[in-house]
This record gives sequence, C-alpha cells and structure tokens, in this order.
Amino acid sequence: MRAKSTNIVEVLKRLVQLLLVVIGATFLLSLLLRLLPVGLKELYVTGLFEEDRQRQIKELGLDRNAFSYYIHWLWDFVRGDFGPIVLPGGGGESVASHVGRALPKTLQLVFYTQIFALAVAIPLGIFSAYRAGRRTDRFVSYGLFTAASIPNFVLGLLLALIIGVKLEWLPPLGYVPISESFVDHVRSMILPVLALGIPLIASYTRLLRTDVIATLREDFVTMAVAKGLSDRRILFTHVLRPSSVTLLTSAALNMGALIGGSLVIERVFSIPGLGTEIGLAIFGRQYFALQAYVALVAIGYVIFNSVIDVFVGLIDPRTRERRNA
Amino acid sequence: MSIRATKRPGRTRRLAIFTGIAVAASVIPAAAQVSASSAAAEKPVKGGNITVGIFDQVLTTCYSPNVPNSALGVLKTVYEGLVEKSSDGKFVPFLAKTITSSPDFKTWTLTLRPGIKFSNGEALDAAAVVLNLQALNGDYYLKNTATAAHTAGSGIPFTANLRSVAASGTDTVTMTLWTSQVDWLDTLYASGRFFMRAPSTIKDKTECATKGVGTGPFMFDTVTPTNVKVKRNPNYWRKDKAGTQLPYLESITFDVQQQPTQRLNGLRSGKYAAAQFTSAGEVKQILSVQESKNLGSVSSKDVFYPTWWPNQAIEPFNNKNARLAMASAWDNTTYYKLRNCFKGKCLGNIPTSIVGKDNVMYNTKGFVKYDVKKSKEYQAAYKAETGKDLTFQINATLSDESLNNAKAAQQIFAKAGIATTINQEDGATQVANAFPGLAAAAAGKLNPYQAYAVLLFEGEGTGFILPFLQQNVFSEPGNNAKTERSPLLPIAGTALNLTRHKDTALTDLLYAAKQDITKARPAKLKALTKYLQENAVVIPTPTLLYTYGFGKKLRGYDTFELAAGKTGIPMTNAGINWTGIWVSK
Repeated sequence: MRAKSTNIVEVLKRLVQLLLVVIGATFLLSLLLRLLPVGLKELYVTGLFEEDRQRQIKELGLDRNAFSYYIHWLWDFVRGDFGPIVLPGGGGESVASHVGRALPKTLQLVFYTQIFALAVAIPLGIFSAYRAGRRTDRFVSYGLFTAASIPNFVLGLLLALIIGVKLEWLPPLGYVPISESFVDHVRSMILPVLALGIPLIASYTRLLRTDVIATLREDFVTMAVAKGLSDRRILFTHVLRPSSVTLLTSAALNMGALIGGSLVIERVFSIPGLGTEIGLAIFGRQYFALQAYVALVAIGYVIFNSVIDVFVGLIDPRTRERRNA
Repeated sequence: MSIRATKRPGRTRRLAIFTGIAVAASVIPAAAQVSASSAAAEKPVKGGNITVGIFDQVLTTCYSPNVPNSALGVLKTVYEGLVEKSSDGKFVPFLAKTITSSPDFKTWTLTLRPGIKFSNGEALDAAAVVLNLQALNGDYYLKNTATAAHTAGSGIPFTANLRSVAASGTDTVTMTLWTSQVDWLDTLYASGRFFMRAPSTIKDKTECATKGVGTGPFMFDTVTPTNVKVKRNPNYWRKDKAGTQLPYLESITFDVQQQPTQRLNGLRSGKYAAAQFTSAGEVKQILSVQESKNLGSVSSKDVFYPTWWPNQAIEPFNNKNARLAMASAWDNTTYYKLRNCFKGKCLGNIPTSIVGKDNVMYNTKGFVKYDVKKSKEYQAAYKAETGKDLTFQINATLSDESLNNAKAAQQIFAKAGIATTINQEDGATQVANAFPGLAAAAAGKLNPYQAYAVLLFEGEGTGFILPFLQQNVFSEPGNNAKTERSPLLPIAGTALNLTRHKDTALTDLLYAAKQDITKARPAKLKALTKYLQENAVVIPTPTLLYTYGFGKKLRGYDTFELAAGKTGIPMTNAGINWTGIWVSK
C-alpha cells in the first residue's frame, strides 16, 4: 500500500516537472520571439492603412505585453489552437492543420527508426560483449565506428543514389501513407530509416556492450553459470535486463535528437513531416508556427524521458529502490 | 525553347539571388534529334497519376507573396490568363477571344470566349474579368480595405497604367489606360503571372490562399507548401484536335525537393515522371538530364537576364564612379566559366547587353566591358570624391551553391582590388527586404542592399523590364492617378524601384520610349539601354535557363497548343503547360 502511494507521488512529481519544463521552454521561446532583430510587427503586419494595421496587430496578439501574450498563447495552445501561418494579407492555414498532417509522419519515422536501431543494436551489443576483445568484437566495433562517423544526410544521399537510383530496389524519395498502400509505405520508409538508424545502431551497440560486459562480471551471472544455464539464456534472460538502463535512457534522449535529425532526412527524402515543417518555418520566418513546433518537440522530449524513467524503474528494481530510499 | 536532343539549356529562378545564383544558359549546338520519349506517333491516352519534382514551395494559391518559378508552374495548372505567348514571341488571346486596341493604344477591348467556366461552376464572364483586373490594380482593395488586403500585391505597381476597367454585356471588357502603351498585352501576360481567379475566391482570403479556383485543366486537391496535388478538371473548356476532352492526366502531384541531386535521383528512378531544374546552381544536373539517353528534356529560351542592381540611395553606389568601377571589375567570362560550365559544357550566355539579342531593347552601345585598369581609375575617382576605398556587400542565400556563386563574385571583384563581404541570409528574407511589400514601402523601408543580384528582366519585350526601372510608377507623364489612387501612390509607386534611383534623365528616356507608339519606339528603347549601361544602372550577368527533365513514358511536352491555334512556348521559367501531357502505355 505504501509502495503504491509512493508510486503515485512519483508520477505526480513527474507531471509537475513536465509542466514546469514545458512552461519554461515555451515561455523562453516566447521571449526570444520578442528579441528578434526584425520585430514581429514589422514582419507580419502588412496592412497598408492604419486601421488594417491595428486590426492585424490585435489579431496576432502583438498589442499585448510579453507575459499577457504568453498566457494567451498557452491557453490557445492547450486548446489545440497553435496560431496561424501568416501570409501577407492573411488567409493562411492554421499551424494546427500543418501539425496534424506532419506529426504522424515524423512519429512514424522516429518510431520505425528506434525499432530498427534497437532491433539491430541489442543482439549486436550482446554479441559484441560476449565476444569482447576478440576479432569479431573488433570487427563489429570498427564497422560501427565507421558508420557512426558518417553524417546521416550523407548516408541518406548515398543510400538514395545506390539503392534507389543505381539498383532501383527502393524509391529514393517520397512518402506513401499506409492508407494508400502498406507495401509502398514500408518501401518508402526503408531508406530514411536506414539513414537515421545506422548511426544510432553504432551508439546503442557501444552502450549496451559496455553495460553487458559490466553485468557479466556480477556475482549473479557467476551463479547462473554455476547452475549450468546456457549462455544464450544467461545473456538474454538475466544479463540484458539490468544492462538495458543506459540503452533505454539513451533511446529516450535520442527521441528529441531524432526529431532534429529528421529535419534533414525528411528534406532529403521528401517526407512532409514535422522536421520539414520546422525547416519551412525557419526559412519562411513563420515564428508563430516555430513556437508551436518547438513546444511540441519539448513536450515530446519531456514525455519520452518521463516515461522512460518510469520504465527504467520497472525493469531495474534497483533504481526504484534507490529512489524510494 | 529547345528539345532535349537539341541540347539547348535551361533557365533559372525568377528572383534568383545571383550572388547566390548560378545563372546560365549557353546554347550548346548539337545534333538535332527528337527526344526518344516524345518522338513516336502515338495517340494520346487518357489517365495517369504522376509525381513531379520542383524546387519552390507553394506558400499560397492566392496573390501574395509573389510566386517563384516552379511554384508558378503549379498554379498555372489551375489558373489561366487572358493572353498567352506564342512560340514566335507574340502575345495572343487565350481566355480572351479577341483583344483590340484603339489607334492611340489607350483603350483596349477584349471579348471572352463563350462558355468558359471556373472549375467550381462560376462563369468567366465580363464581370469576373473586371473583378480580377480591379483586384490586380488595387481598386478592389481600395473599396474593401478591411477584407481585401490579400489582393494588394505587386500587381498594383505593375498595372499602374490601368485607369479603369468596365464590362459591356457579359463578354466584353474595356480597359482604359492613363497613357498609350503598345505592349499592354505584355503587361497583362506579366510573365504568366496574371491569371483569372473565380470571383468567390477573390472575395474570401482563406479560400484564395488554400483552395484557389481557376479555369485551368486541373483543380487543387491537396495543398501544402511542399506537396501539391492537382486533379483533372472534368469540365475543362478545351479539347484536343481529335475532340478528346483535355487534360489527359488524371492527377499531378508536385513534390518540392530542394536538393537538385535528389530531384535528379527521383527522375532517374522513376519516382518522378518529370522534374524541373534551374541553371542557378543546377548546371550539373541539367547537363546530366540532357545527356541521358533514358530521359527527355525541354529547356527554356534564352530570355532571362539576371543583373546586379547597385543601390543608388545608399553608399557607395550613390556615386556613379563606384558603379562604373563595379561594372568594369565584373568579369562575366570568368564568372560564366566558374559557375555556368561543367566539364567543358556550359549553360546560358555571356551578356553583351543588359538584355539578350532577341529583346527589343538589345544594344551593345554603352556596355561596360571588363577592364581592370579602368575599374581602378574609377575607384581612384571615387576615392578622390569621397575619401573612401570602394567596398561593398554582396548577398548569398543559405545554400552552398549560392555561397559558391558569391565567393566567385568576390574573387572577381578582388582581382580588380575591390574588397567585398558576403551577407548570407535565407533567400526569402532577402527577397522580402529587397522588395519590402507595400506596407513596408509605405513606411519608407526600401531595398537595404548595396548590390543585389537578381533575375528581374525577361522576355523579348519590355512589359517585364520597364516597371523595375521606373522611379515611381505613378509619376509617368499623363498618369493622373493622384486623385483616384491617392491612398496607394506613396505606397505602391516605388515598390519595384530596386535601384532606388531618382535619375530624371533616365526617367525622361524611359517614358519617351514607353509611351511611343510609332516606329521610333525601338530606337528610343535602345537609347534607354545605352543610358542604363553607360551609367551602370544595372550590370548584367550570364543569362539563366530552366529545364524540365522527363521520364521515359511521358509524352506531349514538346508542344503546347494554344487555344487560338498557334503553338505556345513549351518551356518557361514556370515550367511546361500540362494540358496536353500524357503517359504512354
């Protein structure tokens, strides 16, 4: 009973932390918008006559002070109103409609990339640790080190050229929704996932390898060996779980980085996701949109980290116990 | 234009930030052979959904901001103009059936083709044309300031000469100009930018921006900045020679891919049925398309003339010696070799005038040739007058190619002893600063750049050249818009004056040529060119080309049949006309 209430308190603490981080990040961003070298009024208020200009200023909330502006923005944001894409004369779409179109594509890309990277890195990391110091371990390490040193956009262009154009195995660009064709969807996502995932595999494998090597030195592993359990069972049943904490934390931290990485990869492969939208907002000086996108990324980042914290506690009781103590 | 096999190159982007723009277009003479993808005498087949790679975002389907090249091509699948340009360079009626002028070229009357409707069912009648023209010249905005700001754009200064427009009956429209203008049709064409929109979408800013409706062969299906799908307009007004309803294609998805390598990859792999390229930084890709046996291509005519625009309102180019020093230091040949050529093959031409040989203003007199010695003399004269060394800033966008262009320019000026710095900003910001929009212009915020390189001049005529050289478009003798357009005068008048000049001699020459309706007009235009060149008002750079590459199965891109029976220009800066394109089985 006591443990249960402690868990609830823990989750509540996490939620408060989440709120504080999101509010802090978005408020700072909102202040930054006011410090732009080109003022928002100069940028967005296009009315030719004073009456028009005043109306536009009011519509965009630029007549408010920073705090009042932020409170209104936050209220709109939680209600799903992320502001306008500002066009001269008005008439642009809402940011929310852009988010609605783009976010699922980015989440798909990030999700597939994580699944792919973990699916490859986990067996590879365990194998590498199991064969630590031997030729195969060195071969895997060097190979991964090389892969990690190639920027993902270069990797993306190379994959597109070789696999997409020369070999014609997969489309070198474009996005196909699942609703249109599942097979084509998968085919369209393979190259971007590879481009984003290969550097991740290198990082994950190295992390897991180190933790597995450390775990293999634990007493309970010696006990398991003494009991005559198979190497495979020891590695995957007893060693993997306690060795996964760093990997999972890294995976969560990488969710934010992946969205950043997807900014480039989405543009290389013509995937109209959030990364593409962020790029468009930056180059098109759509700062209201950018504020919403950054807020969404920040929220995603915090949520992923909070979830992973809870998850780490579940898979490694030692962490939970340390917290409770 | 030229078909792939003729190996005539392409062109570039409209507002090509040249310091950041590789311009180019040399005519590479080559064996004439018909592109494999367009040769066979096949019959057009209906149907097909294709994807096309382009390089400009489609921010809006409405008036502003000004639509760049390949995005304009997307809009032109949905919208059509009153006039089109035929392959011989003449302007011919398109949505209009006839257009005639009064002897003094001050009154122009057009009649409409009967029965044309917008894709939403609204009629393209005289009232719709009047509304469209009033939206262009600002009259509609002046009557509806609270709701029509989305219509107030560069059309206002461009159509400053339009005094009034009125409907007679349902199919006749009369346009009355302030002053005589023999090339009014060139203005109405506006490089393919003035098209007719359904009245309901003009009146609703959101509809205008997101779901524009035109009379064209396609209708917008889904529109995002990086991906636009247009679907067949089942009630399109045109049929082919065999009586088959046009267009042939069921849908086209335009995909924005700014990386030229990836655009080429998409084309080669078949993901893209076609893709557009610009010689501004995409020379390698264009040559690759043109040399490919598996791809067809079509390139634009050599009628895009990018230039440097020294800013006469600020230092150092408020000084004539500074401008002449810059012009004499500018080595077009070296720049051409550096940026327009790849492995011995080049795109575009080295200029010998501010416009190309096909343009009525072409004149080599007064053209400032590359001469380091003279440049140094001008620099010395500048220093004697101002006490300063000549130095200025040039612009580059954020792309590598743009920066490489700027660096090439920097090296060229350095050879003549002129130090330059590079200002790297995103292209949209630069365009917004250089062409600040009507509101910013009203607040006195005009072009801030010392020397901006950009593609503004184009075509064989003057309609898309002279407006950029006018000090104030409303200051033309005979244009008494001051009463009727007074709220717009200070705002829109100088919005296109990129050099920010106040040169009365230039203004006098310009209006003398512009208003002339006699045979003396070409000579007056050439005199204007001479003045512009010898005073280094603008400094030309190698010309730009645009190219479309096509996959094996696409047909019909080498001809563009006009409604009047003539043949149109297959390829412009906006790309091709998609009405007659079909996919071979």
